[in-house]
Amino acid sequence: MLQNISKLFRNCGHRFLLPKFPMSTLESIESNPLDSELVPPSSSLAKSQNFKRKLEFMPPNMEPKQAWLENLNTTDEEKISILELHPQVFGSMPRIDVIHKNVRWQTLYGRMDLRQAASRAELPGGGRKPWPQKGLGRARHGSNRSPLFYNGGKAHGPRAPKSYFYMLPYDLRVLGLTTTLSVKLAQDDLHIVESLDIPTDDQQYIEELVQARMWGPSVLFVDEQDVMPENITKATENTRHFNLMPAYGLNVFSMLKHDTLVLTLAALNRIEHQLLLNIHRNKNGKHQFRYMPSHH
Amino acid sequence: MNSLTKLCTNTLSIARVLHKVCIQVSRTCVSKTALDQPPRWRHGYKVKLHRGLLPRLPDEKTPLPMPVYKPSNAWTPQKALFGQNDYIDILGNEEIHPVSLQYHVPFYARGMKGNEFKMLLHKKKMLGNNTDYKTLNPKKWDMLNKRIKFLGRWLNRKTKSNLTKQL
Repeated sequence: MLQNISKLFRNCGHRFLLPKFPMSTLESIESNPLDSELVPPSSSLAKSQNFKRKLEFMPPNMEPKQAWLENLNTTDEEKISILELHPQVFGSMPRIDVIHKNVRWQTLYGRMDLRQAASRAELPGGGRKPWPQKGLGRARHGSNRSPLFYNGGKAHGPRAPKSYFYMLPYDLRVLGLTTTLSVKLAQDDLHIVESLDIPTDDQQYIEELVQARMWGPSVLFVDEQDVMPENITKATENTRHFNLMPAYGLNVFSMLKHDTLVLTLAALNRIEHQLLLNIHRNKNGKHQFRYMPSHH
Repeated sequence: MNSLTKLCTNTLSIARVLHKVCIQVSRTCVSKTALDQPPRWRHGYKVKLHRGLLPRLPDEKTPLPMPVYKPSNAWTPQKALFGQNDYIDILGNEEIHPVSLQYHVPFYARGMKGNEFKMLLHKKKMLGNNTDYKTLNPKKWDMLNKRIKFLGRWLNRKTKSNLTKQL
């Protein structure tokens, strides 16, 4: 038990985790884990049998990462059991450059510039010679919509449609997700809960909960499916920095924008399974299909 | 009020008229005395003591000629959930390409990047074959064709190849 806890602290790198845990509880964990304040008798460790996770594609030289399974029923956190997380998803090297590439891709690939400055051909009129070539002493012109004229066309202005689209390599996007999840776990910003069921639909309940547990100002709750329990949707409706997201919607930008990431067990299983599948399977060159809009 | 603050107020009152604070200072101190001469180096150089906007004095009634700063809201619904389904082909259904969820991008430009000529050719293919764009927007269709014709001629006759800066 002590070894598992020391591994958990080792995840955090330079960030100092200990102030959250009062010394008395640490001592009690060392002495007798079942009698500690962190694990109340109602949710005994015997229940943890149900939460034992089977890690797929587990290389023999790697040890699993560990995180607490918490609850959302009470304002103060109740640690139900310790979960094992796959090291390739939650313990990979924090690649800041890969995270940067993913964030840049997310901001740019949908960017569209639809500004257009009308050229001399697109403006009305401009077919007639404004005044004769010779005799007037004025400069010679052929059209009153040339770029030289006031209200004339723009020669080299912005021309729509301009896109900044590009696709990041598939494996780099997968790596972006794994590295961001690892960073979140290491910096104590990742919390795993049983489910998003809360007792009331009161907005204050969630705010007090986040305050009491010292979660970040902004929290991202991730569940497996896109239909969320009624109470949490009502409670987080008006708070713009508490957001709900399905597992398929998880992305590097949102994980960095929100300080804390809260995953349900179902979401964790789904995300881990999908990421491990994409890391380990034999793709035969079909891992990313090019977007082919049909115009036939 | 010591000599330094006196000098400051004097210079500020000058600045109100001149809109500039440039005085010749000696090396060691800013105070003005009879013995102070301009330094023997950097002849003609005027030290700018104050840069940027001049400070507002307490009795000033005219406001600054610029709008009051209002920070943007980083948590609007669009900004809060930005990038939500970008990894849907990894974490969700494999057959959905994330660019097909970019609904704000016009369908003829989705998943496409290129110079103006390429984009217009692609746009013509997308709009001309399957839609009624030709009959519903005759002028825009004509302009599209006109621009494609012009660019083809211009790129082939007036520009060197492989110089992307010219377009």
